[in-house]
Amino acid sequence: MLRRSFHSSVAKKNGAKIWSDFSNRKPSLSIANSKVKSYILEGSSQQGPPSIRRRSNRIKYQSPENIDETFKTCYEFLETRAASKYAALEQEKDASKRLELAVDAERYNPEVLYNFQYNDKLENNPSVIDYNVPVYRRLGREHWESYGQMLLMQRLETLAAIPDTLPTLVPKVEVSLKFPFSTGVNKWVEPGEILSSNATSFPPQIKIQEYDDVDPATQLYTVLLVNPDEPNMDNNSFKTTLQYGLVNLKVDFNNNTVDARIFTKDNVLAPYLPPVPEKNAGTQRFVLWLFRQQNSAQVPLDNNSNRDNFDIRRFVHDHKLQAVGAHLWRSQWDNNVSNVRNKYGLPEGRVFHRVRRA
Amino acid sequence: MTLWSSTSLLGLTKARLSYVVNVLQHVRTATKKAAGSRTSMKDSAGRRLGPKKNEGQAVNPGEILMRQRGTKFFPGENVGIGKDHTIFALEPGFVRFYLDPFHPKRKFVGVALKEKSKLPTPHFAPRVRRFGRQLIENPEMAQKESNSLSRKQYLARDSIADGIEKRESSRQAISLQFSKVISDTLDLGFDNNVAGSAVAYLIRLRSSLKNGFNLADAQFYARHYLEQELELQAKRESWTDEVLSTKLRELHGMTTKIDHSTSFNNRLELIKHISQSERGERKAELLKRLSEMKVTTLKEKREMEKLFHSAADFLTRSEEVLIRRRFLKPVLPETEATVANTDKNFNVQKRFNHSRRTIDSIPRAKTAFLSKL
Amino acid sequence: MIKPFQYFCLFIAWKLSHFQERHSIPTAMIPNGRPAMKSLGNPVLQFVRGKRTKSKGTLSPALQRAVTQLSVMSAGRKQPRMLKLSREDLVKHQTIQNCWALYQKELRENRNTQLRLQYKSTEQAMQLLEQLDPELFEAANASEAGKRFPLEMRVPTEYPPNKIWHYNHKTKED
Repeated sequence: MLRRSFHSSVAKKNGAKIWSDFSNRKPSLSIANSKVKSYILEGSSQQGPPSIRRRSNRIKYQSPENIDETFKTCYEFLETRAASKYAALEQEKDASKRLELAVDAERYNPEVLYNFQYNDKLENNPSVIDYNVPVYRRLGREHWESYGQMLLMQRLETLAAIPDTLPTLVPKVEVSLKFPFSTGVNKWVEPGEILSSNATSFPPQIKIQEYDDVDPATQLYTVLLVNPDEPNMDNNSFKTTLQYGLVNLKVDFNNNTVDARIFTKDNVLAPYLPPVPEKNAGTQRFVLWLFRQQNSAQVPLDNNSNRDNFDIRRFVHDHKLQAVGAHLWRSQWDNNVSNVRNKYGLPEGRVFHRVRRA
Repeated sequence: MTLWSSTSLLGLTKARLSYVVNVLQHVRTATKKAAGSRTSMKDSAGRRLGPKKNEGQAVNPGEILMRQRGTKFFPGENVGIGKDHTIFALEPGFVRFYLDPFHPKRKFVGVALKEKSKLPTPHFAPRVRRFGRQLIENPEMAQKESNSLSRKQYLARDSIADGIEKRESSRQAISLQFSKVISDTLDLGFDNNVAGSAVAYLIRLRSSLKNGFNLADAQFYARHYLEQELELQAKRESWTDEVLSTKLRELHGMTTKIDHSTSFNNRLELIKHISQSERGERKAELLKRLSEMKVTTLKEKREMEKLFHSAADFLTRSEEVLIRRRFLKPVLPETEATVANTDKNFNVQKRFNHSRRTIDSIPRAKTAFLSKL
Repeated sequence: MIKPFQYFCLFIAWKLSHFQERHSIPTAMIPNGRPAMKSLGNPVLQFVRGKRTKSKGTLSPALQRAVTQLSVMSAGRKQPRMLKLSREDLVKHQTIQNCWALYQKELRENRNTQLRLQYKSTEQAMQLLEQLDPELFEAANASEAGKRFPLEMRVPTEYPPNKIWHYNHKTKED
């Protein structure tokens, strides 16, 4: 039978105040702003919620009735459950179950909810959203899966990056791109966007956000940027070129933007070649693939793969790479392409007929 | 009816009179059927539907493979579908009628690019694509084609050129300003060449800061941009490694020198370097001096505004705004001190009181209004 | 003790108040509001030549007017006003919802485990019965298809009655 109220014994058997004890919990599990924290945990004050900026709006604001009393009861209820999860965590030996327990113990904590909802999730501040903490990783993954991951897969499929480059992708790692060196524009690229040749004239900054429980000290990553749309006049078709290759990368959960500060020359499989599409050759896709390397095995730099006619499937098979993330953008011919070609010492581009004929 | 009855009556009378004559006659009068049958006259000529090309037949782009009502066949690879579901070829090749295991209830028509290849191509295999464009061999024609503009670009070319010119001139103005600051006020002892790259570095740094990167990132992006430019130049002009490394070292020295001797204030103007600790000290000093002051006259207001003159150098934009709002309030709040009751020298404002739903009149001393001092 | 359920009721009422505030519908027009009861009586029919004698519905004119007004409004305007919950209160609200969901989940799981145990013990009893007395087992498992109401059924009592059967019982005759 459905009973629509707490039994009076439920809330009373509260254990230790597990969520307010920060002796061995990370400070990122607490709300940094003391005013907000006390407003949530100790009840509404006369001045109104501190998150509302204007004083007049703060005074006008009315909370829902009985929210504080109900919240107090519920907080105690959830805290007792969290305490039991922490108790079970101490007994547990299995790693995956330990992770689940660690997530469950904190996922209803209102402070964690507040921190995650109202702070930047992509460019996270580790003192607020610390992806070393399992619960933030879980929340981050759920947030990514709710939109970003679906958008990426849709773009990969509609632009046929799958199966033109690799057969398919099971997305596990969030990959984000930015081009801060060429134009200094502070913007994350949306998958599939058409970028100018000026914007892409210097290598991108790649953010690799891992949500799975891997060991960041031993896990190595490979990044390959390929262009499957390079015209091949020999067989009147296209070939794939390798534009950029980075291997044996190590990233943290928090410090994970890959640029020249993180890697050295020993990580560069193929130095960056900017997109320089030729006139009337159509839009070219630049697909960036992220792989996990198996069992911390290194990928050698001197492999005899031809970067002008690159077989990515073979490379992935040879080095036992597991595709975990991807990103892509598109490029077209524009007036600036010749400047980029001059800068990189590339030969002048071919010019094709405007009309495509049989 | 009347005719019939009259004739039959006639017959009866005649029978009674034992004349045996068959007098019942069918008379057909003039009639016209008013409406036709419901389904007549509705047939149309056949629409000549059906396949127009057979399996394996060679086709060119635009040739019709199938005319149909609805999608009896779905468009497969390298074919398109019209608004009346006509299927036509998009690429030259060979017609294939096939089934796709991903859509078990559909029949497909497609065009295979090669005579031997089969459709559908396996689901996880890369697509077979035709490039189909010819190279322009004549260099003059090629030049002409690469110089040709789309209509949109052609119409916008003046405004684009204007924009470029404007940006270039503002960049030059900034670079002139920066080079002046470097040579006059900072005195870093750069020679001409190094000073030029220092200006380039500062412009880069400024734009990165303007775009919202934090200082350390912006410095790295600006420096790394110049490093990459140098490396590319070395590759183009085939410098030796030593030359490149000395150049890079020079660049590194220059950027660290610049980083230690210059800063950007919150309006992105180049100033002398201010360290983080110095910023804190100056802020504390400013706050102390401000809290000691009291604004009641125009002179005092001017004095306070004077304190804010150099505030942009050591405060962030938001800090500056907040402190300004705190100490230079346009209207002071109503407290005992500002409410004037006996003096003639006061100003009354009317304000709606939400709790009592009445209009309150708020008297304030005239000195409570900053703009009227 | 304030219960979350009570809170949810109040929260819904609060939402509704937002809705009413937006459209300024007087309480008289809302069917369950008390003042509306008066006007809901049968309207007096007065014969007017050419006038419709049968009303379209049974609603009172005032109520009918409100219904017409609402039907004329576009759907977008009928949306309740955006609730203004501050960030802190939204987190509190979510916590209350999480707590309630967790509590209901626990209840559900307890109920399911109890049912599972009950089923298990019934099954054990039946297996035992099959070993001890196959005939009784058959009888207990006899198909009752087509049976509409079990005649054996009576109101369950804790003890059998002191007098088992009223042999001399006679129906009362009027």
